[in-house]
Amino acid sequence: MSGCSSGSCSSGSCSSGSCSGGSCSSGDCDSTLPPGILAAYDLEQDTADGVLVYIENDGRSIHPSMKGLLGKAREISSGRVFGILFAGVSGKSLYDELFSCGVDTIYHMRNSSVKEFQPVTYAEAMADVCHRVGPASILFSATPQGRELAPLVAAKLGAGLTADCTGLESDGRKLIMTRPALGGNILATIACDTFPQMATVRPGTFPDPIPEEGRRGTAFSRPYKTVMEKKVVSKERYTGKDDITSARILISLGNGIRDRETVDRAYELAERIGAFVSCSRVLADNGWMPYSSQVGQSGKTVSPDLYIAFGISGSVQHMAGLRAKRIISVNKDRDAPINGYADKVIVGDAKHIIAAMLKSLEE
Amino acid sequence: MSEPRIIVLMKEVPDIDLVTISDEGRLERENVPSVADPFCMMALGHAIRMKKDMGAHVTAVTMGPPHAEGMMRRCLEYGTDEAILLTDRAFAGADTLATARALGCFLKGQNYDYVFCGVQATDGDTGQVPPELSSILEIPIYSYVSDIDLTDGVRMTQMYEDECLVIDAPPKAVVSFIRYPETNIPLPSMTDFIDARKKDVTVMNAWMLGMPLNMIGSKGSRTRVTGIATVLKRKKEPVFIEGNDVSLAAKEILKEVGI
Repeated sequence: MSGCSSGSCSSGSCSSGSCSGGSCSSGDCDSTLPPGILAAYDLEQDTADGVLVYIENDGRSIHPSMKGLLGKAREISSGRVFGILFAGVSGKSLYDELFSCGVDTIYHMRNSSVKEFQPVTYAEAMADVCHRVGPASILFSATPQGRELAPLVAAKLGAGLTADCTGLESDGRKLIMTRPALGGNILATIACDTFPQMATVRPGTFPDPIPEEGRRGTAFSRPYKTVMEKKVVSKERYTGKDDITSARILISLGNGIRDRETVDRAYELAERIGAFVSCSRVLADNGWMPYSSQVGQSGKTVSPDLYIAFGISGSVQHMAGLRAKRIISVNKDRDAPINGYADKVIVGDAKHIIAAMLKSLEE
Repeated sequence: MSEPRIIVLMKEVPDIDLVTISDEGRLERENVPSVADPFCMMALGHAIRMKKDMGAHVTAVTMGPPHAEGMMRRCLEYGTDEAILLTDRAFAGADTLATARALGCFLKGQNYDYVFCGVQATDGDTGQVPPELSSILEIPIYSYVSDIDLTDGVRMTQMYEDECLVIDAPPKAVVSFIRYPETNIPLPSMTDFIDARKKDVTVMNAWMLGMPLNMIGSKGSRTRVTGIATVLKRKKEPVFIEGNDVSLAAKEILKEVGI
């Protein structure tokens, strides 16, 4: 379909890429359909090429997950790698790093009045750049930002989007995406019908590329306008945040922990041995631990060197978020499912063993 | 602000906690009951609280198979003013974009101030429908909301990866909620139960909503699942340490830590 290849289709008169049957070519469905369905861009299908990556950054540095994603983008791109960077003037200091990780062209989006991540504004500006660039694929890191922004862009472009991919491969311009489903027990392979093909990628999935020092590229600076700006009343950075995804050793607590005091003791122990504390869903649900510390399909994916599971049964849900090199399971139940994944199983009561570990450290 | 109109999007999902893996590595999904998604329940809880605190009008909506009517009945018991079930074979096989489009077509014809939903559902975990829906309706999206403060207009707390924002959230907007332990759904009262008996779940199909069939369901989807592989997880033969000597066990773990 290439009925309307220039600019945005603002009115219903243009059959956008989304209505392949063309049933909304007459004006009457304007009144019953929401406006955003009709306002889809129709990207040129024959010439779409290259990979566009949303560069998540805080103005000083790029998000830790970006390098791996850029490395993968370089590998799968049949053409150029474009980076879209929303940042102030200080964003220039990131150029060299981006080029060395494989970016050919940077679109540096600047608007001095935008201080925070503004999803709707960013999505509008990204859709605009997509129209100019015509990428075959668009990638985001599956961080909270990326997972909010990507669907906004996808709906604007009428594009297919796959969430939280753990595998990306290319067949020419075609993107083959894999993502775990049903608690990670199934790997689904997903393809998009049209260009651009969009995906958010689970952070930490791909290794960081070896930077190619001195590699050059092009950077364009572009202004953008704000749309439906979010009014921020106050902002607070989390302080002393335990980022369980970066932990080398995790002490993880589950349903076998029956009193709150043991949770406190586990934190004490973690501090002593240089570990972080995580949990399974039960402890987050009952409020003893924050959801940000929850491991599992509805929580975070962690990949520590050592995972010490205290009283965790090992549900399908929980195991989906666990990629530890080594697992020690402390459980009263010799047949707990987690023991099937563990390297060492200690049959016993979590509470007493945590206490004994603290005691042993004191000695 | 007086009496906002809230539409809560509900989803019925298999209770994933009860899904187990057989020894051959297959998923045992037989006889696993369906439940209302816990993220949706957060959204419902906030809506019901706003109804009790400031008289909001709350409508619960789901798109799903006919048996989701049971969940919608329970929404009425929790105190929603209306419950609507969108059910049609034409909706089947929808990806997130086609789902958002169908919901968008429904919402276009509704009078609302806020659309409340869970940030994601526990079965698919994509979290894509709420932003896609907001884009289609051309209204703002407030994601990862943990709390609403009504003392000074409508203010919401959003939890991003390393910062939390308090924002002004005037209507109209799509709001997606994360699970946060402080939020409890007010339990239905006896009068809610009795009132619910007088109400019916409204059932609507694609035709009644005026949806073009090529935009919804599998026809309206832009992604295709081209293959499914079962991941055979490596089963290990762990070393078992048994007995009642906790200090020995403690030392064993500390040895692993390198202490």
